[in-house]
Amino acid sequence: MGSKFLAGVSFLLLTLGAKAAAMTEPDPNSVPRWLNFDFSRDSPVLLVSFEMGSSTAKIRGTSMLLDLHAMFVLRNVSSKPLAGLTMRVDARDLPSGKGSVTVPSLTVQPGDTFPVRLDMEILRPIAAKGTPSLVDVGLDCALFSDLTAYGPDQLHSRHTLVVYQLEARREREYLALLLQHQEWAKLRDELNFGLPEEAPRSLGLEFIRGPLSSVLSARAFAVSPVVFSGAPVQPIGGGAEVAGNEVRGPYVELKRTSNRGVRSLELGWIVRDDHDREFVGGSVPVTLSTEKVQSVKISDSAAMRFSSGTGQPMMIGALRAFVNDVEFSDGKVWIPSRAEIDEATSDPVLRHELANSPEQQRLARIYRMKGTTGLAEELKRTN
Amino acid sequence: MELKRLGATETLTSFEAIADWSRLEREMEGNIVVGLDAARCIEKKRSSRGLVLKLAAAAGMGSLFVLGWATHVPAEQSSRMFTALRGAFSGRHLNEYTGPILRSVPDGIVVGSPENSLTILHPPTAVVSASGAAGVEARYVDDTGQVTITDVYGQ
Repeated sequence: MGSKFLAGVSFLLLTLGAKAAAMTEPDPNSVPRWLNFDFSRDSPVLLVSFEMGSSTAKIRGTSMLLDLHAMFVLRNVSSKPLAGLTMRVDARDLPSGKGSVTVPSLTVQPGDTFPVRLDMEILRPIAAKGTPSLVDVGLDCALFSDLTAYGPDQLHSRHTLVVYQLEARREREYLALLLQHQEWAKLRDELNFGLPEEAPRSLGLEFIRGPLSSVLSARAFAVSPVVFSGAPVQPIGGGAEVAGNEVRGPYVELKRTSNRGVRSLELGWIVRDDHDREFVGGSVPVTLSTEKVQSVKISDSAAMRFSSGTGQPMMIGALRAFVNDVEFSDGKVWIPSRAEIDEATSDPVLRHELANSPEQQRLARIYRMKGTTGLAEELKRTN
Repeated sequence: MELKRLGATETLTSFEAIADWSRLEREMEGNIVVGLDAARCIEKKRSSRGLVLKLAAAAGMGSLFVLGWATHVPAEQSSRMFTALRGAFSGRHLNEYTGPILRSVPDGIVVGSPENSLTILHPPTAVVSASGAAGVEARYVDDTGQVTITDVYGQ
């Protein structure tokens, strides 16, 4: 009787142990089900291969942590070269949260393939009712080299991809000119070597929801404009409440300087920290509904908290605003030229921030790895 | 024979030495009392000195802590902590927001709650900035030289 009881308990413990072990180790057969790819039949890109790498599932308290490292290869099945794309990422258990992965600065010819990485963590209660897949991945927008686009564009990514592409062309032309005139010092300055800090700045951001702290005394800050002479819409001033490292309720007044109809624009924010370093803290798209209005006040009820990468609060020293791009009613997009950026400020660090683009980041890496020869070859390939 | 005689003499002498037992007892008691009194005096002296030393050490550590706090912890964090403590001691309910959060961490952007969240990861060297009214983006060049931009939206 006693031995039977012991055997029963042992069996139960072994079963529970095996189940616990199974929960911490991913089942290879179920791994692909964590991600669901959704491409429409007429999609210009299609999934060629997909691997999950070192993805794991772990128990954390009463939740399960899925650490997903996906690498998928897509093929351009359209007839035009692909310049960039945005993939939408939806976590099914999180109705309030979605994400995206954008790959700009592409030159993918028809029939060619290219990789896209997606690294993420999903934390969900163990007791949550399981769905066959946890994350849906689909195409939001694909931009071709002729600036035509395909996709549902639910994330406003077409406009962003067009701006990236125009910035990429601007940067390539500018760097090619520096190479042509053998302006090596300028080239070094442009690709970071002449600047005091080569390492990218480390920034922490948090959107503050709910009631704001009433303890921190907020001060009214003026938002000073950075004006590009050729901009069809220009900032003329603004303000915000600043409490320590929090910026609350910013607003900017804009003035139209062109007769062309404007559909939307993107307003950029420059933040100066307590060490007098200025950087672009972010940008906000603004839709202009009334084309005839000559001036408009853009306000936002959002509040943001800034910190350094290590989490130390970053005290706000000053705020500036600039118009990053403007989309006209006919769909054409304006971005500032290099001459306009140089003219707008004499501060080399701020100038670098304003001209900083994904393409510049990519070309800077090539320059550092392969030197002027590598950069020249890359510019020949892409220009 | 000689040895026996010497032994008897010595024993007799020792016996004679402790023959005044009551005197010896008084002397011993006196010595013990003196020793105990001396010990008590020393103990009092030592304990008061130890207390002073302990208080001085605690004061030194406290001063060091206050100095360290003042020079290393930003006023922002101090004020937040004091507010939280004041709320906890006064019993007032602080209006803490318990809805979804959206923030960047050194290796990713998180949206959701402590139990249910989505984090899109990026290298610590990524350039992070706000994207739109409720989004955070991170931009980096990966190992293959390709630029990748990840965005996480709060709404």
